Formats: sequence, structure tokens, C-alpha cells
Amino acid sequence: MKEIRLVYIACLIVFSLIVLRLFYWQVISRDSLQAKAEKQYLRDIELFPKRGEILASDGSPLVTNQTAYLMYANPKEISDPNIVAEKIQPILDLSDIATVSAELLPEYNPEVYKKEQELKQKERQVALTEKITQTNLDWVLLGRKLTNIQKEQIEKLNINGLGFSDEIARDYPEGSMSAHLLGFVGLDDFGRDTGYFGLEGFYNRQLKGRLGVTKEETDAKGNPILLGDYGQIGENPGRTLKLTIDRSVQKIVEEELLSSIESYQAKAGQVLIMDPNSGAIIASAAYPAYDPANYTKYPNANYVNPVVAETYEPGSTFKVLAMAAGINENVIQPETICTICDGQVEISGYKISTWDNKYHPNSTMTEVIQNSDNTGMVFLSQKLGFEKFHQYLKNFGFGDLTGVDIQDETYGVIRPKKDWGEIDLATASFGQGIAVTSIQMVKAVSAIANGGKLPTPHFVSEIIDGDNPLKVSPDSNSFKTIITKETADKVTEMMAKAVVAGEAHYKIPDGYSLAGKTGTAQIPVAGHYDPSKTIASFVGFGPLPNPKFVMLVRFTEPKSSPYGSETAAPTFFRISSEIFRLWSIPPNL
Amino acid sequence: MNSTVLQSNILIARQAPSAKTLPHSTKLIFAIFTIVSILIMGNLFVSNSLATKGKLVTDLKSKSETLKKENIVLKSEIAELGSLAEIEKKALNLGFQKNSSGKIFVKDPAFAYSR
Repeated sequence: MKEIRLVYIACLIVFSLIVLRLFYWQVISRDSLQAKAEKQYLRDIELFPKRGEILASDGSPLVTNQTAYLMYANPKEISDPNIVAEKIQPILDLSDIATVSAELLPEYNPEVYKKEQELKQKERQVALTEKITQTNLDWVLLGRKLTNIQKEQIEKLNINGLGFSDEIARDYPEGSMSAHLLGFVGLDDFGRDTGYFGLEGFYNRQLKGRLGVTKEETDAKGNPILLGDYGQIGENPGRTLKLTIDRSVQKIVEEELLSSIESYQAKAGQVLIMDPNSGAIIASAAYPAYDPANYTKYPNANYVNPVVAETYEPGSTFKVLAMAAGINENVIQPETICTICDGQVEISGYKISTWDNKYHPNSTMTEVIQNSDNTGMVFLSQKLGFEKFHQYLKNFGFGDLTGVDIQDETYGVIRPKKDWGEIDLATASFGQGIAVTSIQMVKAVSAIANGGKLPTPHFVSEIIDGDNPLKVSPDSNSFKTIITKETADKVTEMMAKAVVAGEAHYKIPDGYSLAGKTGTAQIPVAGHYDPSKTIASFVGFGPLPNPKFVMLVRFTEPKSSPYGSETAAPTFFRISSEIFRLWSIPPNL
Repeated sequence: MNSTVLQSNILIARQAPSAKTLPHSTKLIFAIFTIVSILIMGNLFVSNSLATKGKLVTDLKSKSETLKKENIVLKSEIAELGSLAEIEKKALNLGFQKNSSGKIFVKDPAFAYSR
């Protein structure tokens, strides 16, 4: 009887232990065990959305997507890491070549560049060898966004322990065209595609789409169990951007800018073309540029779009805006005589002279513009006064963002009112002592071209979600009128006369009427102006009387000639001529 | 007496089938059991047949991915073939030249250009 009782007690203890263990598993450790089990039979698959495309105004893609490959290695399976690294590194470096833009850099030296690249390649090879010698790991990342050609070349080497998985990379059918305005796609801290700079950066949220997730129950082989748990949050593909950029004009501009920079031996150059009526940007190019498909091979300074991010002193191109302010305030008219244009003008101890030290007594304001006469502008500024001059600076949008839809736009530099002296007003009237961006300048001159309204510059005309296009262009009826139509017409006529009387008049496309103004601004260096370094520019519009574009051409430190009339103006006329032919605009003279 | 016996026999004969009939509750249980059995059998059969279809689904997914990939490749190729650089290259190969001296005339001029 005692034995039976002992057995009974033993059974009771065992049973209690089992119950306790079950309680521990099913109640206390329920969540962690459930998670472990789900990890075994449930599979989460991230559904990466396709990034939206960027289209030119005719619908052709400037940026699209292509298949690419992620390359990884299992170090445990690699027998000789040194030899493997030696074999695959040259293939990974396939795209590491000097490009046209790299050759344009002033400090570019083929020998130095080659040595630098060889050194970098060796460093990368050492890093690669270190990666694949980490035998404590099963998976190491060797490369992202490899092309199909690179993948095939590596596969031909028949190396054990290397593998590939699919991913998507950006593709640029037009090559590096419009690099500054497009920006590029790099990786964020989590290794996911993210847009940087230009439109890729500004519209990253629209372009990237939304990540989706599929959760499904799988069997031991990893195949889905059809009657098992299944859930999906579908991915949302990124939206497509349709730009206002005319890709044919863009190509003309890029080619012309490149050849002009070479001809004039300039350090850098920009061309910006905008429709003055709508604010739609037709073309935008700047050099030195970079290749967005191989952006890592270029200095970081090249990524920023200088058209919106770089400020400069506009020099004489600014005179047309000061003139517009004076006429609009009725303090001068095109035929008003300058009474101080017979020699140097002294203000606050400073002597202001003309650019060529030639003086034109009793010039009209039209002649002041034609001769680009600084003393005539001082006469104008004294008539206008500081308060009104400053107000017009603000009205034209200087010292403020233009509202353009691209990253890195800067405000420009207009000093606070309290810091202005008499000499500052005088020099600002001919574009010195203020710093503006190219986009601000084009926006302001557009107001003269379109009859007085200040447009909002923009690159994107439509955002397309699936098949639904959404127009996002600013409404031209909302543009603020800053000068009267009469003022705009008078200044246009003065600019047209300046073009005909200018040094580059023989370059004007035959039969066409254009308005414009040259500018040659010395570059301020350490508190003074360096006479050997200039920014040569030309801003204008055409064809008259109904302008279809406003264009700014700008060269930094041209060596063949420091003057805008001998560098930027001929480039302006050559591009205008090509545009007239492309758009089939007939001559009107 | 005979008629009484006969009547009683008729009564028994009439009552006999109702004595063999199952009660409603039993019938219901039987019906539920049958339905559940059929459903279990059906579930077993369908599960069994679908269990082997997982690989088929995986294959279909893989095919779908391959087609999507091919679409991306083809779209990229179309874009590159339609690029201005490519068109220019082909035009030059075909002997076309850049015309930089052409004149543009209005389609319907308001007056005669030639004098």
C-alpha cells in the first residue's frame, strides 16, 4: 500500500512539473516562443517600389530604371582572398574613367589623375581583400548596383563563394545631360535608395514611392502554404515627374556651353533659359558637371547646381533692372539726359569711372545702357534714391528665394538697409556690391520680357501617379505685377538698341530682333576686386516683340577675353539662332 | 372479436413504421456529423492537393519577377534607342548633316516675300 502511495505521489509530482512546464511555455514564454515559431514558418518579404521616372517635356525619359545587381560573398567558401580580390576589383572599377567633365576641371592633369586613380584602386583592393577574409561571417557585401556586363564578367571567373541578388538602379538614356538639375540617387544609412541634390533630392518623397510587405506561411522548403496565413500591404510605385525641359534645347545648350568654355578657356560656365510668360525652365546647364550614374567619381563640390546655389555680382546686366525701376518711378525716361556723364563721379571719397575710361557727356539713358556707362547709372540712382532702389531690389525678388522646385537654392546677398551708404547705392546701380543667383537674374529680367509680371520659375509641369497626371505648374495669373507694361516696353526697346549697337552685333541671328545686355563683373577677392578675374555674362530675350525665352549666359574667368560682349554675347546669339531653327520661328526683320 | 383483432392489426401495421423512425435530435446529430465528415474529408483532400502547389506558386512568382525584370530592361533599351545622342549617331551614319544655314518662312505669309 505504501508503494502505491509513493508511485501516486511521484506521478503527482511529475504531472505537476509537466503542468508547470506547460504553463511556462504557454503563458510566461508565450510571446517569445510564438515569435520564434512565426520566424520559422512565416516569411516577410519587402516589396521595393519602383522609383518614379523623370521625363522631358516631350515625354521622353531623362531618368528611368534598369536592373542591377548586389554582389555578396561567403568568406568561408573563398579559398584565396588575395587572388579573388585581384581578379574582381578591376571589374568593379569598370566605370572609373576620366570623363569630359573631369577633363574640364582647371586642375585636371592626365598624369596626376591616372596616378590618383591607381592609388585609389589599390586602396579599394586592400579593402576588398579584408572583407573576404572575414571567415567568421557567412555573408559580406562586396558591391551594389553592378551592371549586367559586370555581373557576367565576374560569373565567367567561376569563383566559389560569390553570389548576386537583383536590385534596381537609375538609368540615364541621355547620358549625363542635365546632371545638375536631375541630381542623383545614392544610398541612405539603411542602404535604401534616396535622392540627393537637384530634382531627385527635392522630389524624393514623390519619386521613391511606398515600401510594401508580404507576410506568408511557408513550408520547410520555403514554398508558400496556400491555406496558411497570408497578408499583404502592397507597394506604391513612385510618381513620375514631367519636366518643362525641352531636351533638344537642353542638348544644344550643353554642347554650345561646352565648346564655348573650351574656346574662351573659362573656368566654369552656365546657361539658363526660361519661358518668361509661364516661368517654365526650358534648359539649364552648368560646367564643370558630373555623371549622375557615377557620381562618386567626382568632387562633392560638383553636385550642387550653381544656377540656383552660387551667387555672383551681376555687373552691368543689372543696369536694365535699375533702369526699369527709374522709369517705373518716372524719375527718368529713355531720353532723359545724364548731366554728370562727362567724367569720373566722386562719392564718399571714391571715384567712379566708366569701364573703358571713355566719357559721353549729355548721354540719354538709352545711350547709357548702350555704352554701359557707370556714371549714367550713378545719375539714375541719385534720382531714384535709396528707399525706392531698395524697394525695387525686393520687388524683383533679390535677397529672397525664387520658389524654384529644386534643392540648394540660396537667397543671394543684399545687405540690411542700415548698412547701406551713398557709395553702396551708387555701385549697386551698376551691379556691384550685391550678390545674386542666375535664377534670380533670369526671373527678374522675365518681368521686363513679359510686360511687368514676376514669374515663379519651375522645372516640373506634371506629377504623374499611375495614369493620373496632376498639373503642378504655378498659375501665371497669380504672378505679381512689379512694373507697368509701358515701363517694360521702354526698357525692352533700350535693350534691343543695346544689342544692335553692341560689339557682338554681327553675331545676331540674321532677321531676328533680340533684347539684351552684357555684363563684366570683377570678382571680389579678400576685400578688393581682382582685375584679372571676371565673370562675363549676357542676359537677354527674344524674339521681339513676343519673347519666347529669356536666357542668361555666364562664364567664370574666361581667359580669351574678360568681357561679356566677346564671350557670353556670341554664345547667347549662337544658342538663340539654334532655338529659332528648332522651334521654326520665322525672322521678322 | 374478429373485427377488433383486425382493427388492432391495422393499428399495429400503421404504427410499425413510426416505431422505426429516429428522433429529430438524433437525425440532426447524424446530419451534422455527415456534413462535418464531408467537410473534413474535403479539407483533407483540398489541403493535400494544394500542399504540392506551393512550388507552383513559387515558380509563378519567379516567372512574374523575370517578366518584370525583362520589362525594365526593354524599357531601358527603348529609352536608350530613342535618346538624342543615339538618334544623332544614326543620322550621321546615314549621311545626314547638321544644317546651320537654313531659313524659316511663315506658312501663310500675309504678303509676298519675293519682290
